[in-house]
Amino acid sequence: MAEYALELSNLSRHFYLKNGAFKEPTLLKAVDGISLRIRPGETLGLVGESGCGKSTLAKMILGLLEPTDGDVLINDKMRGASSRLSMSRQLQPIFQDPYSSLNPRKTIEQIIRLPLQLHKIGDAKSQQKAVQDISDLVGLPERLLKNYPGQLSGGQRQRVAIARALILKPNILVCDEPTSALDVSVQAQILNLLMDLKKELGLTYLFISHNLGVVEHLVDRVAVMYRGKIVEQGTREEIFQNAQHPYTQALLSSVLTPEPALGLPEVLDSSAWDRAS
Amino acid sequence: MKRILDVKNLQVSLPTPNGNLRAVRGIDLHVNKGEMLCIVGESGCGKSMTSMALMGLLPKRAEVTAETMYFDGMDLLSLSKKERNQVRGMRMSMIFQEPMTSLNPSYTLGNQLCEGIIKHKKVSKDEAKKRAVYLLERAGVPYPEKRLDQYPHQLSGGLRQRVMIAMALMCEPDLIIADEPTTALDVTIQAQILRLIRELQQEFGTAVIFITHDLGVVARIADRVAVMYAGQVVETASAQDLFADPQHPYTKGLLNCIPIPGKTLPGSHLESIPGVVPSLIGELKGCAFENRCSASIGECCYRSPSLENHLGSEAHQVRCPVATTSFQEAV
Amino acid sequence: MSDSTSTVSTAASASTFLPEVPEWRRMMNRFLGHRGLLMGSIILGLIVVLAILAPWLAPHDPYLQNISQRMIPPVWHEKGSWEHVFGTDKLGRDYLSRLLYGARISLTIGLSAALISGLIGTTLGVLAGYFGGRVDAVISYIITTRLAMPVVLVALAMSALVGGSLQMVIILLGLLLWDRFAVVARSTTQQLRDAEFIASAKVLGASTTYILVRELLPNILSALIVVMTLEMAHAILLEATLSFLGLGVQPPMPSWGLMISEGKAYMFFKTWVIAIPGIALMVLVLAINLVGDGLRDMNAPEGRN
Repeated sequence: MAEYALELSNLSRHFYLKNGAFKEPTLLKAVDGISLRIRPGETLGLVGESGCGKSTLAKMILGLLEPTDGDVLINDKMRGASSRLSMSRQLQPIFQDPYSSLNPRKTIEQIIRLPLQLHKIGDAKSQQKAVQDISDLVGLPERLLKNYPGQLSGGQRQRVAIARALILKPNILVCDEPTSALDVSVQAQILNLLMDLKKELGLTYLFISHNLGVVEHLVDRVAVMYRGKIVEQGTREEIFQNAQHPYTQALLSSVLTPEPALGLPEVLDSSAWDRAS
Repeated sequence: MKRILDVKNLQVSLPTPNGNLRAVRGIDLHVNKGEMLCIVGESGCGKSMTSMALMGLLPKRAEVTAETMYFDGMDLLSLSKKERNQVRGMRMSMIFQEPMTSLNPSYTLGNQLCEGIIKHKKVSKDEAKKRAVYLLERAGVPYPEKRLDQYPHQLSGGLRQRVMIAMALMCEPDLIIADEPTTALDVTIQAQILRLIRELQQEFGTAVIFITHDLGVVARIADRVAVMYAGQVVETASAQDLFADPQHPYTKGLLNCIPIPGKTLPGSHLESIPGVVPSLIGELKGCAFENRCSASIGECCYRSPSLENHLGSEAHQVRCPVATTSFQEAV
Repeated sequence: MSDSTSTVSTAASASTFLPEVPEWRRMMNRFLGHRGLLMGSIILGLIVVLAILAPWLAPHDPYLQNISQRMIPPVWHEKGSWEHVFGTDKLGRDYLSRLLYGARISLTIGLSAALISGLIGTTLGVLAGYFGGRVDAVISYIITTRLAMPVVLVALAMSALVGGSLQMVIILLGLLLWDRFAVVARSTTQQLRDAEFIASAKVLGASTTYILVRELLPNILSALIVVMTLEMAHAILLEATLSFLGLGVQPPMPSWGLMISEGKAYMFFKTWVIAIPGIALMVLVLAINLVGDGLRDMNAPEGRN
């Protein structure tokens, strides 16, 4: 087995923002030299707020965006070295919005089956069997297979997305805010499912989220991202009980748990952690 | 305590191609002067429809009925459209989820801030500007004078929401309805904005109806809470009571769903509410939560429960026969 | 959230995701509920059926000349007869028969021209919208160039140069009417380009062709079908114009535009000579436009569940 399921070394992505026809474009370092390692079977939580570059990072890991600099290694192999087809058997995404991640004009069965067809795995009959098996695994009722995404609830759609991601039996899932578009009662179901699947299939997760409650529940290690950089990383206990960086501390104190007695946290000022990073 | 808003049996229905969508199914609500009432519920529970109906902002095809709808002793239902607009502009205001879409991109902030007060309160332009600068400063917007000449796109999301809050306070309203005002914001900004809303509300003595899906936000900011499910209020209580002693199975279920740092054991199985929300088209038979409820009894299938006092107190009401009977048995 | 309707529709869609009524049933109900669409489809359907069955329905040979039977008025005139329900033209050909065969020409030209231009426009638009950047710049330039050309003048010049015929008119219109397809395909593709289901197919290793044809195209098809109806009506009117000017379909073929042209010498004394093909043309174009409008309404996001 590979030493690391996913390894990012000095990964960067820069954008040039246009400022009109006559001005110099501004350089934006969306991802600025990030190095991360995830061991097989480990769940790494990547925490950060909007615009910190976590989605850009996910796109580069998935091969949807070319890095300006640095490498992505999947199961010890360079992302660029092998074809997209073979990479997609090892690493699959689960996206945030279950309403835009499924093609509205295809039935659920067609959607889950697509990976098998693209990879030319099995004949029609075995593909159908595989679709049914994976639907069972993610708790998707078989009667829904003939339906279209528009007829499903948010939670059911996210199950479809998970089934599609798992049907090629990858060992790594990149989950980009997989529950933030869902209601809390449904969020719990999906989190349970992700935890069960990890136990059952020995999956490795890169779990990207801004919800620290969810991250604490799910992950082994946490990396905190701010303005394109990792400002702090450590085990779950290290981060949640003994955060060092002022930004991590600010994030943690902003978590609003349902405890009325605690009231609202102190007003925070971004200048504190800007100075630190 | 004086009630600023008192609504009895509010119903909203919308015609859809598949039948009549009864989004709000008989809601009783009141807000006291200077109080923060949180309406909490998941998507499709009718919380936004309720706020739109209270503001009179629903499209014409929506049918809104209520037994009574009193605002500071005034019957809103009997007002003409013009009078209603007057009340809405001067005494009620609204803060939306996405400030970018509720601010007009082609007018300066100064223009938009002052427009209402000049129209409704007949104050001079200079006075209006003075008040705008004062409120922007109170809302924590740096360089308030400069902002008056800026356009919405020149501000960050957090700043825009601060401007929206200042704008909502311009006419010194008695009631502000805030519909998911912090959902689009980052967590650190959210904490700041919530604190701001709370502080200003207490300082100006404004009543606020705060609509959200986030129980964490509710717990930290509310005086009183109404939990909505399938177009009805299923439980209402003070924030302290609701979180310390939730009664309705749905409220309990919601609270158990959320992993709480330091309390929930990491990696443990989370409780969830099985099933899905029933379709709100047409009539519902029995309790709306019956199909997802672990505590349901025979009568839940056919009898629609009413909102009953819990422990004999009007301050804590529950729409569940199981919750109320178990108490009676205990006594 | 500034307009209340958007909130309403999201609230409504969120709570009604479990339809008890099957999809086709709901579409059917919506179809029957839309008066314009229903009326347009019935009229259009009727014209199509009449055109297809023309060889069996036509009482006479549309090309058969009979000098002794010239300019017989239609049946509702006092001199009319049931032998020639819509009368005869200046060469004694049966007007009803010519009208029925003329419908074939109008529909053929409308459909073929719209299909050709649809193919060209959709390909260009999808490529521009999906790839963006330089591809988009080049294609947008081609679109603007095309928009700068006056359709009727170019068509006139071309047919004067090459000579008019049925095939010529189809090819000419097919090459001229693709602009709206391209504009609509481009903008709808741009909206979908970054959808997560497209990203997901990319990650799976699907080829660009697969993504464009199988993932993207079905989602923009409904918008394109609406454009198709509009361009069909457009093509039918242009054909009539060209034929009227003598540069389109050539006699003795029974094109409606040609029939109007042939009757124009008599229009002050025998109004029906141009009124009958004129009304037929108007009814056909109206029906197609009603269908197009109806389809657009059915596809409008606020009507979707």
